[in-house]
Amino acid sequence: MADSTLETLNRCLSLVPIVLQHQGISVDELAKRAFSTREQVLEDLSSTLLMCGVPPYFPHDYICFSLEGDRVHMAFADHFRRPVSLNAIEALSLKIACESTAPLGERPNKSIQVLLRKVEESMGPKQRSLFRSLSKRVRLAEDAVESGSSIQQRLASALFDRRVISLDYVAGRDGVARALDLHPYGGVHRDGHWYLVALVEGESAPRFFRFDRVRGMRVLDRHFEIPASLRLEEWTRRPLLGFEAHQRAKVRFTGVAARWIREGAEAGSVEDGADGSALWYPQIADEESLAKVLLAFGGEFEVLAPESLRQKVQRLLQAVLTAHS
Amino acid sequence: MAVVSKLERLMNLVAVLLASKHPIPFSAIRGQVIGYDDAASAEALEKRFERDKRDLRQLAIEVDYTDQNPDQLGYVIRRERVTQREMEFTHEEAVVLSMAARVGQVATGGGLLGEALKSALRKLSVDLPDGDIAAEIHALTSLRAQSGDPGAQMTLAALAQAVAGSRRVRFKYAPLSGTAAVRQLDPYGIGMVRGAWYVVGHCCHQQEIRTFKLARIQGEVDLCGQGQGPDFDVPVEFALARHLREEGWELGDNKPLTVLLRVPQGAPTQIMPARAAEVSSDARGVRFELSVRRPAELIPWLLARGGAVVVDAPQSLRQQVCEAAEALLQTNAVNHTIATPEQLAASAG
Repeated sequence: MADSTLETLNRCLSLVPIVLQHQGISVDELAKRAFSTREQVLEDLSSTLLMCGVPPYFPHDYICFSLEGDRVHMAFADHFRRPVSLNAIEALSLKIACESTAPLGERPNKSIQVLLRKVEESMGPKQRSLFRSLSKRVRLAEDAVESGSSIQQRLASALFDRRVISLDYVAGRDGVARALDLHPYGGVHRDGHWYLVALVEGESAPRFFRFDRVRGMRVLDRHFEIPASLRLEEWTRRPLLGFEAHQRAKVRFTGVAARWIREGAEAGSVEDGADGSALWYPQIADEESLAKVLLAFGGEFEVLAPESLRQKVQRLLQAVLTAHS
Repeated sequence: MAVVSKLERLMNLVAVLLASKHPIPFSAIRGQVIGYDDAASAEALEKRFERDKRDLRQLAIEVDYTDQNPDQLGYVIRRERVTQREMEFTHEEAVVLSMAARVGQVATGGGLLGEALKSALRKLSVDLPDGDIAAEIHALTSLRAQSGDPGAQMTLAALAQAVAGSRRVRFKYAPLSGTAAVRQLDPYGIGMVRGAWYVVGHCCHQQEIRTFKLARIQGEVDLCGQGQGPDFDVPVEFALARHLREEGWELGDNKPLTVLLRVPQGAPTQIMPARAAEVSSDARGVRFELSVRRPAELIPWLLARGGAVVVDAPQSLRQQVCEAAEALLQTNAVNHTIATPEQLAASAG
């Protein structure tokens, strides 16, 4: 819905039923329910809805709202008593969001399924039919755990019970397997892979572990507590290559690789070069991993800074040549 | 009469059609409803009405014309078809909705789907009980995030609607190599692979099923034809997953080539692609066979392994890997001027 007029109309048509259903609701509560701001709600009420009425436009033919202190009341708006049915895209978004929290390796629980069925039945017949068709023809990221179902099940159980685990893990940067005792805080699926967010015992901050690098796992007979401040959703935005990445690299991509990086890089991290190239400024926390990411983009790039990253790229390429000689 | 804003006009049109118990002829809208009472010609007002109906349809508000009763001809918004039925949510369901709101932006990837989620929750909140349940949300143990490429967000809505309604579309597409051209497509499905959206459908030009990356669509996606659709039937044998493969070397219709890869002794074999099949093992390492349709697409993956995976056959691919590594080594040669940290900070802003 690119048209801002339609966005405002959609918002206003949802605002009225909330007030009618909850007469006397506070402006802040209304803003919260409407996923809006206090200022936006007041603007919608006073500038848009107050202008709306039906012929012959006598005073009581216009929507009337009043603010008593901080409490909102509304009258003469019975025709807007129910919100417009969810459209197919809205219902799809809701389905994605609700199902996104299903436990590892499990289908969404019964309450999610019942809720989504209830929502579907509340929709208008046309939108319901569109939504059913759309749900079958939209495929999101693969929800598979690459390293096998038994690890997945034991991990899900450890997550639920807050049990310490011992992990045999192959680090991406050097390919060396290590045994680590971890406090598993949660699993995050992003960019096509599952990651475990976990604290290594003895370390001060949790970090990512990619599921497909787990070679083995044991659940230990010890428990832990998840810090109250941990928000799993914040970990879906953290750089995968590190956690305290203050420094940025500078890499120039040319040719087809420039298109790739423009399409795929984090917003705001790419500049256009004068010659049609693309300059990428990725965060650096682990140079070895970043060098591998650069090589995986395919051809036509040059590390402009730092020198150490350039050397890492050279070493990897030399290793490729040696292995193939 | 002054011309009022489009927003005010649309609000008034919806209000009058929802408030009326009977169909309203256009003659009772023209000159009566604010927004249709200015000095524009009758033809202009009619065109305005048609545009408004089309816009309202985007919000799932269908304005229908009814002629079932000769005494009551005119336009209606059928409340029972357009508005949301009343719902009662259990406490547990309200918690689920609250959780969906909390993780919504990351779960949907933001953009169009994120905004659509907010709109959905806003509509559902009318039936939610009073009280703050946010505090009752238990700690999450897993979360699936959709990153979604920003370039795709503009076209996702139009394509999703076209997929849902089986409507033929037209758009300008810039492939990774070659020039941009207009394509007509019967979109069978859309999907996301590693954060990027793709549409799969029958390409009218190439007369075969093709996959297009949404981020490479230039400009708007237009519907072909004026009808309501459906414009095509999706073949029963169509399976979306088959066309949304995750690796570049699996794409396309080239004859599959079997590549023999070797993981040298002592190196981890977990790094091999899921579809690689182990075939033998000896002192030199573990060998795998991988079916590949685009061998060139495998080269970046091999370079990124840094020698931990070796091509044993075919020789031509082995040679190409070496050539690619040598070319990149030359570009990233040692004696190049490297930016100072100050220059880097300045250019990174």
